Amino acid sequence: MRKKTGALALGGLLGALVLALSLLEAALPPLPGTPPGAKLGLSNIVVMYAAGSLGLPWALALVLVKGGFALLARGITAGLMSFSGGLLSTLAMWLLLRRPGVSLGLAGVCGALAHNGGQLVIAWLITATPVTIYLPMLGVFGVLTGLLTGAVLKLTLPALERLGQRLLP
Amino acid sequence: MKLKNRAFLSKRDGLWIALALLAAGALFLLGRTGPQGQRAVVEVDGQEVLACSLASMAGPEEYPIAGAGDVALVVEIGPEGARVVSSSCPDQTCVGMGRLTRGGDAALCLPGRVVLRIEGRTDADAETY
Amino acid sequence: MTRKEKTHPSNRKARLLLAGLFLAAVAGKLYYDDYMARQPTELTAFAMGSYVEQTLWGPGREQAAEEVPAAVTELENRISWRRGGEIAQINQQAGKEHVLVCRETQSLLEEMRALCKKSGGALDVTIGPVSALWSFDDSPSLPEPEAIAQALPLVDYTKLSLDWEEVWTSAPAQDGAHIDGITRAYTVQLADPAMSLDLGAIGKGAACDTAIALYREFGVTGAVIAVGGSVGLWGQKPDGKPFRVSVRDPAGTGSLGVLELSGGFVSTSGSYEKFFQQDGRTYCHLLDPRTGYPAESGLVSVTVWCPPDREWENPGALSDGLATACFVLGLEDSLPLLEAYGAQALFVEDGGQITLTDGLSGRFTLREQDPYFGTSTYSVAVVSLGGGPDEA
Repeated sequence: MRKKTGALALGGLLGALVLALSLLEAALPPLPGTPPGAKLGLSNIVVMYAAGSLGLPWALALVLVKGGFALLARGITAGLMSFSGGLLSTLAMWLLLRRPGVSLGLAGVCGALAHNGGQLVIAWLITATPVTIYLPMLGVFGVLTGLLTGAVLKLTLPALERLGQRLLP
Repeated sequence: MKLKNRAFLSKRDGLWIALALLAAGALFLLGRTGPQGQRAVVEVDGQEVLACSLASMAGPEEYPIAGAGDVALVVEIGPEGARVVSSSCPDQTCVGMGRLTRGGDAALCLPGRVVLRIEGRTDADAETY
Repeated sequence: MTRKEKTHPSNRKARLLLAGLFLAAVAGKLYYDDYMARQPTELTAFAMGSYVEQTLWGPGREQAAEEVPAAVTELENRISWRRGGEIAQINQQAGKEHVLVCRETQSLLEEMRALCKKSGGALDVTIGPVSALWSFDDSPSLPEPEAIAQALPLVDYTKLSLDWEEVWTSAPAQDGAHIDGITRAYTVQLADPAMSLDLGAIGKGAACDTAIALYREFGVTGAVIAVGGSVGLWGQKPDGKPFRVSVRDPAGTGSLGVLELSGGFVSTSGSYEKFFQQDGRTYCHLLDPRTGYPAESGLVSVTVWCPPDREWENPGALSDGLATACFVLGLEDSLPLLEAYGAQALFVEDGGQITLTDGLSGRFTLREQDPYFGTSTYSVAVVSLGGGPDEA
């Protein structure tokens, strides 16, 4: 019984964190040279934690939360973008983090690149415009945001681990 | 391996990332060698309604444009340039401009307040005519 | 975190990276802001039946650019005989009452009337009765010789009178008293009821004057405005290089070459702009006020440059009027007129000969000709204006 409520509480907390970070990064102005929709990936910090510490189902649940919110709040295009980017990046991060030698920075970068890649594919399918011009900029941007995600996670990991341990013994 | 025991960035992983950045740089440079991003742009009443990169087109394509008032035009945009194929305007000067090929070239339909122009390098600040 | 964890090299790396990213973001934003502030504002709009293109640099450029289209429309309402403003009223009151006009209109009419006189009537703002007979648009019409003969005597700039009276004005002051003063009321009148003003030949140039006045007022440091084919140049470009004005090739839509100018105003009159053909003859829209028929002076186009910082109040309108007058006069007879106004010109003749006045000879670069693809080849000659213009 205690385990179930603990899991529920953790899920709620993490979900709220994901949404809060999503809203935060949506409030920031878009950078010139990046396509509209390219985000800092702050919410990926939480997803990466889940993928690495709690397991794939947890991470996918968070992707669902984020994507569902995007769908309801910003429409079907935003929802599709969020889902495709989120799914690809979660898979990438989870696969990488299963291997012991992979550092957080690399996982973050691959997650970010996969996220951007997924979104780009949706954009291409919907608008049929040549999106390849965005690849170089997204590549650099993905590396930077991925490193950002990894760095923040590394520094906040002890706090997150304590939270996980207390709610999921 | 527990998450908290992982490094932030190992040397080997750092190398992978550097490789990714190099690849991005190479892609960027490769993209530049193609035709220098000439676009055909259609504006109605100052608002951009259509923009195509000429280089990315396989062949000429026709697009209907609704101008101001009841003026309707058909523009053709392709890798060799752009032109106004037909227009319902009384002047027909826009059709008479023929094919636009160079940066800065433009065909105007004044009654329909439509502008078809080629964006690209034009090194003059203005044109007198 | 424990002390050991805090100083762990991996955590240090993470912190360093974050610090680096933050600094890079701040630096990037600062550079971006500076870059954007240095970029020109470009605005295109439709006004006065033409495409109005602006490029501006410096503070105040956004507001200035936004005000220009409305200002040009206001000008058009005032000086177009087709609208209901001052010029239309003058036409309506021709031969009857004089009409009060604002200082701007008076200044414009005064300078244009002087130009009519100096050009010997090759430009005449009272050409209304004749230009009304011709149509070069959807349904071109060739007027009967009798109609032209009847209208021609009405074209006479000497019958345009510009006058002013001093009037006492009384404005209420704050303390209930009055402030008395004298101002000028400008009046305009046409002598004959059938006379009418048509400022079509100088409208676009006048629009450039209006825009430049706004740029001056808003503190813009450099600007280029093009209203149709009339161009106004203001201030300096940020890199300090001269303005580059392309001259259209009369044979097509390409460029004949580029003029490098320090500022001023440029206008072109060309027979290729509007014309129609009937019974094997070509009639262009540039009418000779002395004959009532399209000018035939052996020219295909004339481009006139009025250098900056002269005493004229309406240099843009002047460049437009001079271009029309020179087209009518032909190359030789234009030269004394250009010299009198300190202006320079580029003539393109029927046979493909380009002639520059000496003030433009170092400033014009002919575009590379391409005989293989059949574009016409031009030859360039230079003619001296005699007195020699000041270096501008």
